[in-house]
Amino acid sequence: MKHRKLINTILIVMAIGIVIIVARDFVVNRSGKNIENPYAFDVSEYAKVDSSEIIYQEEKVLQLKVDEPKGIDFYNEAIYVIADSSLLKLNQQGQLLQEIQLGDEPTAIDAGPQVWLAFKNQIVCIDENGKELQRWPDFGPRSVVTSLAVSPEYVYVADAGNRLVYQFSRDGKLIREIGAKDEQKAVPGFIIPSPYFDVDLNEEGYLWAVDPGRHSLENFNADGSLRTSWTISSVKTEGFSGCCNPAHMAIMSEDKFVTSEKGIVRVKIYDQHGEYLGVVATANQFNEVSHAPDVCVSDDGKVILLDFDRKQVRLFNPKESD
Amino acid sequence: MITTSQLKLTKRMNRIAKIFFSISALILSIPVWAQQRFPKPEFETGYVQPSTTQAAPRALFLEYLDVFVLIAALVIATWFVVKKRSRRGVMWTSVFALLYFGFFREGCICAIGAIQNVTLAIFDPTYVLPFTALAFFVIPLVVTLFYGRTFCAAVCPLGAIQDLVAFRPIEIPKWLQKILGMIPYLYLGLAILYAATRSEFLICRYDPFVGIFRFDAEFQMLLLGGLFLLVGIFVARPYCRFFCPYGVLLGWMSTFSKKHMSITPSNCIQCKLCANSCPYGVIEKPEEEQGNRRSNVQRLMTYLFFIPLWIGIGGLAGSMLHGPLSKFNSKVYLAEQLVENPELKNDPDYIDARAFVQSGESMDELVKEAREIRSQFYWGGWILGGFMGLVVGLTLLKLASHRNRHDYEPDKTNCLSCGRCMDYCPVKN
Amino acid sequence: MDRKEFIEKSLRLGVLTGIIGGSVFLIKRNKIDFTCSVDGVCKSCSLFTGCDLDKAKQSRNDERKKDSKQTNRREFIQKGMRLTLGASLAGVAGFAALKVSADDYVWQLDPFKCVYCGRCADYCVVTPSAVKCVHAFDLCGYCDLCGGYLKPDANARSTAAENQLCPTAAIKRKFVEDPYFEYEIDEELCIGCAKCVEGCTSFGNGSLHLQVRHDLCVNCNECSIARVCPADAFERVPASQPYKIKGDFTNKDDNNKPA
Repeated sequence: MKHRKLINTILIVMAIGIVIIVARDFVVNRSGKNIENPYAFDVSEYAKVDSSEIIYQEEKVLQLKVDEPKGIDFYNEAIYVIADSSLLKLNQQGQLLQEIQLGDEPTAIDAGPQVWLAFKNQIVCIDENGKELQRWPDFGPRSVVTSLAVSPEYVYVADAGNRLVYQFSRDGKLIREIGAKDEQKAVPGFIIPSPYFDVDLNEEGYLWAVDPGRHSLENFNADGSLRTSWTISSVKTEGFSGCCNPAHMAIMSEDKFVTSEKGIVRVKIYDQHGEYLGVVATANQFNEVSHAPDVCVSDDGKVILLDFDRKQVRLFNPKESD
Repeated sequence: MITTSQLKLTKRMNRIAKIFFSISALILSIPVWAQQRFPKPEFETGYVQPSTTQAAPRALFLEYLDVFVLIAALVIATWFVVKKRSRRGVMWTSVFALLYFGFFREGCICAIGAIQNVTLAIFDPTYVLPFTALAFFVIPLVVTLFYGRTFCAAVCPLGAIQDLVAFRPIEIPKWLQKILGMIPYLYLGLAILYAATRSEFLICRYDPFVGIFRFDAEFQMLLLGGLFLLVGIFVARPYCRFFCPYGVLLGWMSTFSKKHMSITPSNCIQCKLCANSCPYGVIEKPEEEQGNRRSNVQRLMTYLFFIPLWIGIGGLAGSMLHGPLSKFNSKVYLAEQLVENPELKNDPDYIDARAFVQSGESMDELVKEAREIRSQFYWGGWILGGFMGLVVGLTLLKLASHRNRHDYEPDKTNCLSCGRCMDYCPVKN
Repeated sequence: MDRKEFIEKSLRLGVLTGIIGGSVFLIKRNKIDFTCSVDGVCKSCSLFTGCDLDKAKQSRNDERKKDSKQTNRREFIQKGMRLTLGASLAGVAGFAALKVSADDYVWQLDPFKCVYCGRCADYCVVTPSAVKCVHAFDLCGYCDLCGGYLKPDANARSTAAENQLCPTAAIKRKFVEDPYFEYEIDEELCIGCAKCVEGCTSFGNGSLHLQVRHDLCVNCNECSIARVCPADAFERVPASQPYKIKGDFTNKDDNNKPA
């Protein structure tokens, strides 16, 4: 055949080309090799907190041996944790004082002289040894109780499913529903996109409820009318971002608020007017993918967090510097 | 050939199946919705939320239709090669196969890749083998066992595309053919090793023509395909002869096939007209034994004796290479990276390390898994190396041995039954 | 081609034709005699006179009978090997057939394992990717401030392109009633980059997630995305249940289980 030498040369070049392509791909493109994300959505700059704003430090970590922690509260020098289907009572050194089997999975707790528990849509009251004192009829399938606040006269039940707070008397009689959209009472109605809805009572016994969809905290009279509210909606450290924040809330001395957020997970302190005071724990003190921790406060001003992902109870003390 | 009305019918049935499927999925999932979800807000304006569309995959009966077309094409191809002895028939069947299995079905699933599926089924307890994959693996092998490589002739789309561009086939020196002919064994062994260790489907990764069939591939793949086709203009069917791992299995079946394609319909008259007609150089010429019998047999025995040595050397080499070979498995690679550089776990840019940390798996578990895979590669390396050693030894043995031959016959192992030589034979029954 | 080459070529052609034509003419005219050696095997074909095809066939058949013992042995080995190969093939196929299912298998990704790495958009063999974002409306909070729609530093809660996370503006925001908004994905625009998925999951309810769309997926034997997925989220699922949509499909990482 004519030009045989030329054809041979071309063929050898092409064959070498094939070998190079295959070998190069084999060596360079390993699976597991890092490939950067060109569409990365970086929120790290929003999570950064100036160190001067961090006003608490972590003092102690208590590791829990449970599968799924659910809630935390503090009463009388003891930490009450509900997890799986039991109630654990711990002291501040982490020793287990008491474990009570509840038979069903609790979703909220309020610890006091009696312990009030919520089981998704049913309220139960037990004494300190676990004996059942009251069991209220359930609220129906749409109800998802996420928080309880108990005063000497009333039991406030936060129902995220129905987007309402129920005000009950202590023996189970429903007095009124708080938070339904009512223009005459100037109540805008709660916006609750996900099951995070916390309530607490301030020092005078007034009800404060989180309105997570509006990034605000609302204060109600005993007759259900809106007393006051404050809101900070921003991506900056002092604001609330995302669809439903703050996910958890607790009121401490001087009517200060401790809030815990999801998305950019952090715990902050606000004063009674809603002015930002500082940060208890920043996002890098939690796992990269983390739920918002549940919060409660001890009588001596410690902030106690329940970290759902690490399954820990974490105690924070105010920094001595101020 | 598939007609347009048949295509329309399948499209319509596809659509009906899709509608039926999505409706039933919607109905079946309603009770599930009511119980598990956090309740949505109550809409006062009578708003109805849209449903999440779930387009159905290709209908199952169409997958089985592919198997049926495979069997039909094999039957027709075999009839053309063995009974009718028509090169034209073989060629047009290969064009149909190229259009259906190649461009219509986009080259996947193919019989070559099915090797990996079957391997995975044997070695991975969590893998479920679809029946169509098994069918694509077994049926061509069974047909080849009786009638030779008619699959290669007219049914394999990769073979068809190369066959159609072989305009100016040149002859390759025999020694080069033998050396390059060992690559398919290596490729088969590596493919089985990587499939069995769940690392990779090597055959699918380096399939040169699937990018052309899909009309969509990254540049590297299209370049590879183009190079293969360009080489294929002069060196006929380069992938089939020098790379195809399925060709190894087909070759074994075909060597002992009952009714292989023969150049002449009855007896060969040694007219030599067919001698240079094969573009793949697999027609064997009549030969008489050279030299004396005794020394030939002695030479044969020497080569035979060397075979265990080759197996040993090969196995050793394979086991020594188990480290670099295993790096291709993503778990092993990740484990190596994280053990060597533990600070990578906190690197925000290294997505794989971050995903590993988020998954909650401990370093110990990862290292244990990586060690297990490594040891699989070690034993696999021994077997692969030994197998390659056996191949080398047997190739040398075949080169040294000799068989008396009177007629012009095709080499049953490597003949692709394309039928070009049949037209050159003047004998008419 | 210049004139010199052309003359060379035609001369060559002419000489060749002359030689061939001359030889044929001479042979046909003189009937060149090629006799076949009866003792050995005939080495010529019936183009030339003096060869007796039948005689050649006969002599070869006689030779063949001499080798018949060898041939029978060979046939026996062939039969035996064929049987062995057939049996081993049946064995391998039978072993694999233990795991066979009549259903076909397709690829799908587990939305709870996804880490929003963005490789789904680039590594699919189909362009644009067969992986697209789907919205599980049951989980959506219908928020005004949608974590998957708006950038965190958006200056307004509006449909302005500068405020949208999606690089191709594939999410459509529609007012439902106060204060609820509906977000729907236009699949033709979605490229599967998972930016909205990351936003929705970290800041919202996690109702937006990626799924392989089976009207686009070509069902490769080995999914190219599965190969590079850092979270190993891709699995083969039966074609009869090809989707893992959040809501119908849930696992322990699901935030939206009641309380």
